[in-house]
Formats: sequence, structure tokens, C-alpha cells
Amino acid sequence: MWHPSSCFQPPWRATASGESPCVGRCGRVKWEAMTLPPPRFRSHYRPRTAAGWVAIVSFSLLMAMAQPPIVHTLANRTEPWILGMPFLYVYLLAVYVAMIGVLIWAVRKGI
Amino acid sequence: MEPWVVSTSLIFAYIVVTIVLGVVANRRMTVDLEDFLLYGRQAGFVVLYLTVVASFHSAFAFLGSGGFFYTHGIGFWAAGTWTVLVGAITYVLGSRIWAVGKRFGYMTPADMLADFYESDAVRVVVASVSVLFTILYIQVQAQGLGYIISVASGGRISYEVGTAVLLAVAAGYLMAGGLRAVYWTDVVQGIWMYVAIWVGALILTERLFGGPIELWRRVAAERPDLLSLPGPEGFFTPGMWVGMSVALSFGIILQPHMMIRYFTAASGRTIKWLGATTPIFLMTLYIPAALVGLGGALIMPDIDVPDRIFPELLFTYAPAWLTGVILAGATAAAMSTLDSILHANMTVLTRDIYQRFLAPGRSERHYIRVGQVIVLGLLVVGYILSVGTFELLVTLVTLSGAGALQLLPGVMGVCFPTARPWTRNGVLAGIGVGLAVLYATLVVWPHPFAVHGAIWSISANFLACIVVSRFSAPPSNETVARVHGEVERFVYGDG
Repeated sequence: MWHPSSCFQPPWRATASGESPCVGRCGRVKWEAMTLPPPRFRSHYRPRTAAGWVAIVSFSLLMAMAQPPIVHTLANRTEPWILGMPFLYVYLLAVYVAMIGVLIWAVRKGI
Repeated sequence: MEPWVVSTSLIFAYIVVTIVLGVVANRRMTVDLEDFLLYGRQAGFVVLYLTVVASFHSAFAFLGSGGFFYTHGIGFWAAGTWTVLVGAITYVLGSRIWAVGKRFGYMTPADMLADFYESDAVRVVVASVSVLFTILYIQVQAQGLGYIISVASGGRISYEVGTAVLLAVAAGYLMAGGLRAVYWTDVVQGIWMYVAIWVGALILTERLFGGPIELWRRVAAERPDLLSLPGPEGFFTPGMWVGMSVALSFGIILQPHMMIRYFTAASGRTIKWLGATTPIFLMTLYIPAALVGLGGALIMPDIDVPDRIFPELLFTYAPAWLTGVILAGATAAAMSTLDSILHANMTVLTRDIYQRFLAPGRSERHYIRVGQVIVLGLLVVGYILSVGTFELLVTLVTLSGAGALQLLPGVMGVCFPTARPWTRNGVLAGIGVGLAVLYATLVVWPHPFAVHGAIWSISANFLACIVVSRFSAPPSNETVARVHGEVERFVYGDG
């Protein structure tokens, strides 16, 4: 573990910046001081930008519309016919196209 | 000229084209393992797009999907869900896999997981799962090929001979040109299969019903049970819908032949565009499949093997040239998946087993030679498996997908930085428990409570992974900082 009293700068910073590691009075590298602290990363499961939130929420909502229970209840019918095709078929096609649209929008926004 | 002559000739013409491409690829190949196995990590958007879609859609898309619409009706339109999910997974997960693969030189999924979890046990287990469950896929494709050529020749070329010839052709151009040959042939195969199924379905629909609108009207009048959920046989329950969506998206993406494609991309942006646009191809291929399956249910309601509905309709109602073109397209669909799986298994066995444990430190030329010998071995195994019992194609595909799905927690642990990383023991425990539950819920008690076995198995997998990770040592801070730091930089930095 790194002990603050044994080194004036965090070993993480020293290693990352390429500076010399901490050296003890005997001249040898203090290997215990070289051990990196646990890295901390913000979770990648939560979007960090507004565009990221828009993409993930809209895609999730659309995916929910293509899954049970909605598909097996509200959308599970042939009427009304749309362009000569049954409702369920056209409904799902529209949802799929919308999901692809979200993905393309996300790339164009650089998410 | 008799129809079977035309059909068989067109299939063999197609085979000649793939062989020529394999030879040309061989002349461009260098003695470089990365070039042989990963196309030199230089695949651009068009090539990568067509190889991904051609590999994803197999004999199943051509034969099994029509059979599924035939038997279970509109419920198979759920296929759109998993094809769009494939795009989203490619976008989010695939781009991260590309980033760490490029930075740390990974060639296989096992490379990536073994490095992050600092474990050769993880390498062996991941490599084993990768090979075990994709060998099932070799069987599926080889069976599809044998069946196609047998049907095309009117039984004059036996199923066994057809399987052997087409397996040998795929293995031949793979050995000659490596992944470059696979990619180039996939470009031809991807275009051919897409055009073939659309043209075939539209012509049949026009001849038999006067167009798609009239087909839908007649299905509603004569077989309304095909237009509602869960379908005539009650197959598409909510649990099966969700389960197939998960198994056939995550499960297929996590198979080595798909994950390795991410390592080959020229850039991360290529992968993101790939994710955003591949669903267009993947999903729309099921539109003509629906016309074939639903139309076939009206025209040929008593067919013995539903998977055969498309070729049966062609032989009965389409001109010989069209039948040949379309069956060559079906051959393309099967071969493009088969060569990719052969390549992936060859890569995994060469890189993760032979190079790592049996003969480290040899020349690149040596490993390429070994890879070519492994392809020959896989050819034999694939043939033996394929002449076994014929099952419905989709059942095998689902089993394959659900097997590779067990790698999901491990891959997510690498690609999604969190405050507390999952551990080697957690990932191993998860895979073990997941596979056990998968066997129980697919074989012993298939789909308990009408929920797909994939859902049971992956839930148990995640649970075991999380619990065991809580009580075992995580990867070293250095490794976590290195790998997760690269992901962080790629996603939120200057990537």
C-alpha cells in the first residue's frame, strides 16, 4: 500500500507522469510505495452527456415497445390494416426503423 | 435444359467465384499472423459491413426463418428485435472491444479476458466455450449446405457428398487466403444472398398471389391464427420472445467469429457506423422470409419439414434459372457463416491453445501452417457432425447462441469500468453456473414456465459472478487502470 508519509507525491502520479519512483534512504526503490491505489472510474452505465441520455432513454423506450407486455397485448392485433398489411407487422417495423434511427442519430452526434 | 442442371450449374459457378477470390487473396497475403488472422486490422466499412451481415445470417436466415414463419406465423417478426439489438451491441460493446484490442494487441476474446482477469484458466475456459458452441454452428451450416445442394440437384448429388464438397471449398479458400479470403468472399456472398432472397420472394409472391398485399389479405382470411401472438402452436410466449431476443443478439455477438470481426476494424468510428447500419440489412432480410413462410403456409400447408418451404416453392413455381440463383444465394448464406466460424475456431485454437501453451515463441510462418492444419481438423469434425441426425435449424442456432451468451459478464467486466471490477473467480463461477443452468433449462426441462433457457442461464450467471466477485480478489490495480483507462480514454477522451 502507498503511505503518504513515505513519499511526497502519489506514486500513481509519479508512475503516470514518468517521473522517478520513490527511493528509500538505502537507495532502493520502495516497491510497496509503487503499488497503485485502486483506480476510480465513473461508471460507464450512466450516460455523462445530455445527448447520451436522450439516446439511451429513447432506445430503451422503443425497445420496450417491441417487447412484452406491449407486443402481446396492445399491439397484438391485425386491425387497423396499414398500407394493406396487418397492424402488428407494421407497428413492429415502425419501431425497428425508429430504433435504427436512434443509432444513426447517436453516431452523428458523436456519442 | 432440366431445372436441376441449371440450379446445380449456378451453384457450382458461384463456388468457382469463391475459389478464385481465395486464390487472389492468397497472392495478397503476407507471412504475418495478424494479417492471416485479423486482416491486418485494416478492414474498412464496406468490407466489414458485408462480412458481418453475411456471417450473422446463415443457412438459418434462408431456410429456418421461412420455416418459422410457416409454422409459428408473424411471431417470428421478433427477429427484428434481435437484429436491431445486434446493432446496438456492436455500437456500444463492439467499439470498446475494438479499442482495447487495438491498444493491447488482442486477437481473440480469450486474449482479452485472460489479460484483464490475469488468468490462464479464464483463457482456457473462454476458448473452450468459444469452440464448443460454435462447432454446433459448423454442423448447422454444413447440414444446410448439404441439404441445399441435394435439393438443387434433385437428389442426384447426395446430402453427404454435397456437404463434403462445400465444406472442403470453404476450408480451402480459408487456408489459402486467411481472413482476407473470408472477407472478400463474404462481400460477394452478402450481396448475393440479399438480392436472391428478395428477388425470389417477390417473384413467388407475384406469381402465386398477385403481390404482397393480396398475400396478407389471404393469410388474414384463411389462416388468421398466423397473424397473432403467440402463434398457432403457442410458441411465441412473452418469455420466448424476450429469450430469443437476448440469445440471438448477445449470444451471437459473443461468438468468436463475430467478436473477432471487431478486432479487425480500421477504426472505432467504423464500428459505430457498423452498429448503426447493420440492422437495416439484418432486419429487412426477414421481410421476404415472411412472405415465403406465410405464403407457403397457404400454398403448401402439409409440408413435412417446414425449413424446406422456400426451395419447395421454387422448384414447383419458379423458373429454373431463378431457382438456381436463389439456391446459390442460400449456399452463400451458409458458406459465409461457415468460413467465418472455421476461421474463428482456427484462430482461437492457434492463438489461445497452441501458441500459448504448446509451442510458444515459434515463427509466424509456423503458426500460420498450424492454423491451416487446424482448419483441416475442423473440416473433418464438421463433416462428422453434419451427417448426424437432422434437426430443425433454429433449435441448434438457439443452443449455440445461448452457450456463447455465458461470456457476457466477463466481457462486460472488461468493457465497462465500474467502481469494483468483477474478478477472475467471479467470471469462472458465472460461466460454470450459467452453463449448468443452460443445460438444465434447454435439455432437462426445456424453457421452464415458458421462459427461454437463455434468460434463466444468463440470470444465474450474473448472480454467481456478482456474488463470487464480492468475496474474491479483483485484478491488480495496474491492470484495471491500464485496460479500463483505455476504455475511458476511448469513450470519453480523445477516442
